[in-house]
Amino acid sequence: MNDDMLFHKIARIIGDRLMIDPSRITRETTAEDVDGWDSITHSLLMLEVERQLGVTLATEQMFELENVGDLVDLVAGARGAA
Amino acid sequence: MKPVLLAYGNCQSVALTAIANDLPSITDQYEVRYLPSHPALGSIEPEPGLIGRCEIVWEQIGVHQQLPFRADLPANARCVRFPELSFALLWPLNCNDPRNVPEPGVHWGHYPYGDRLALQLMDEGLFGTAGYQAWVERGASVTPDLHRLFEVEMARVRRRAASVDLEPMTYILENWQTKRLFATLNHPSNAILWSLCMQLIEASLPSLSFPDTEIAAAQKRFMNPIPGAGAIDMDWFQVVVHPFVAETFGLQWCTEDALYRCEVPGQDRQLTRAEFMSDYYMVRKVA
Repeated sequence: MNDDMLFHKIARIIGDRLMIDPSRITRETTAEDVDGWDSITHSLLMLEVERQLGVTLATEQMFELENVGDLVDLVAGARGAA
Repeated sequence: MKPVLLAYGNCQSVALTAIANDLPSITDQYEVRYLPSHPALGSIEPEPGLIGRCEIVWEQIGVHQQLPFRADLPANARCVRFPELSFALLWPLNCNDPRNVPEPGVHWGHYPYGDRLALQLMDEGLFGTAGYQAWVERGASVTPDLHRLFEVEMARVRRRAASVDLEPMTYILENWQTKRLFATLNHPSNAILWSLCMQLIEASLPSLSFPDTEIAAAQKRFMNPIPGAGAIDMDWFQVVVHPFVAETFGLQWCTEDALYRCEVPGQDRQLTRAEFMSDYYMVRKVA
């Protein structure tokens, strides 16, 4: 799965989780841009990303992400390391 | 004009403001004011001169919130930072409920907290008692790894603790399996808020002493709000906890017959888990 495919997969997970249209999500989207994406939703979202993509993310880094692009990179790194 | 004790933050800070305003030992010396961190809670613009009169600030730190106008605070203002309290461990299936829309008189909607599995089951045509039974049976198969969720939540708490002066999570983590400390994932119980307010008072007003009866009376009023009297009550809506979660985490308080307050219009009552799901949440909408 290349980065573009990975991004679209993650955008779909975010969309499903937060009940928004995934096409609204870009790599630059931040949590602040999405209604309902607070810190607690973030925890649950990270678990959903892990579950659906079969990765274990670096736990501390989950909370240092600036935007969706950072999440894509974190997941890509975890897949590469697996 | 008295100096100001300002509580800044979300609805939890409204409750803290109410407690402080109910303590004459504080109000004799301070004008206790609340400043919302979010426009849904009121004007986020302080009235002219308010910030400049602040002697004490209780600043609630959240993901998207920090005190604006900090540069306008007096140099001697004492600021105590504390976190917004939230707790994901009890509701791993929480999601937005697409049925939930603000309605006249029901600003937060009838379904302010969604359940991903229940919504999926309703999409499959399962409602009421049948829906509840399927919800119980399928919980284990759709719930994320709860031990991993615990690790992630602890990381979230550690990160938050680095940016605050008070971290009430120590108490919460020692007691969440034996006591119901949260009504919803972002509504701590009245008991936790009372405890937090006492910590804030101790941290920001260390030399203030209270008559014992004053504290006891205010605590009694806050913990036992009179329905309909406009008192702050964070326990007005208590979301059910899935039995799989209760079993996995060994929640002693979360028994099958535990009651959940469900004070949305038409459902102002206490419901068991089964009643909550089958009579309130998993109901077929009639157009």
